Amino acid sequence: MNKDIYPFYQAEDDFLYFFVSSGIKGDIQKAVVISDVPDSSNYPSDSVYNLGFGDVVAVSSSWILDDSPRSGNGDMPKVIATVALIAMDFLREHPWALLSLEGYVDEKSALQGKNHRNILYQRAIDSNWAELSTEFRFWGVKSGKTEDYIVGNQYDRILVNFK
Amino acid sequence: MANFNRDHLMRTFMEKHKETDYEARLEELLKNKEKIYEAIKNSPFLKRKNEEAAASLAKLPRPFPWEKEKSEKSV
Repeated sequence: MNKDIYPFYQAEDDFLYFFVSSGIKGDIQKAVVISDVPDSSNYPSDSVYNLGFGDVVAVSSSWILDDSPRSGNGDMPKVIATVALIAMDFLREHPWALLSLEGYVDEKSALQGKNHRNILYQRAIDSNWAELSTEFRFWGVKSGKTEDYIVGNQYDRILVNFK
Repeated sequence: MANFNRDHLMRTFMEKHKETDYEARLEELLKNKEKIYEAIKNSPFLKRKNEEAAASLAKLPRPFPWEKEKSEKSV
């Protein structure tokens, strides 16, 4: 992806990535964590991974990953492009994995019936579709149905694996 | 020509400065990376996200498209 992105750091042997968003409100520490989806008798989960992303927030001598804020740092496209690049890097390193992405639905998104973070993820995917679709396979989940990803369609969840 | 060189040098210097500055901030964040990872790994946030993903995937009709492709390939 030839987009403007933040350099990121991958914690050794872990599926945890860090970067710093630098914008109009200053520096905001961000993390992306990729973890395997818990066991379930309904589907084979051994290769399904979930992507979580948010602000690293210090709370009483510990840290939390808060996926709820709209940071308003003026750099959302750059932040989302960085998250998308991290996801693609992960899949290149783990070609057997299926990655599941769903953005946080905040109050505004819920009111409008739209998942704004998904819209941004999809914007990053759609604008790089020619390049990404040669290397990765995408599916979209909408209203409980999985279909081959169609550029421009809006999905509740995005699933992607390495071809 | 002299102006171009000066501008170019200034831009390069500013870019280098920005990079160094960014690296310093990332370094600051990474100082506690092990502790942060431990905290996040065991956080209710991650548990909730994974449970949501599991619940959402469990509701989808089977077989999944990627399972179908796998079984077609193996025939």
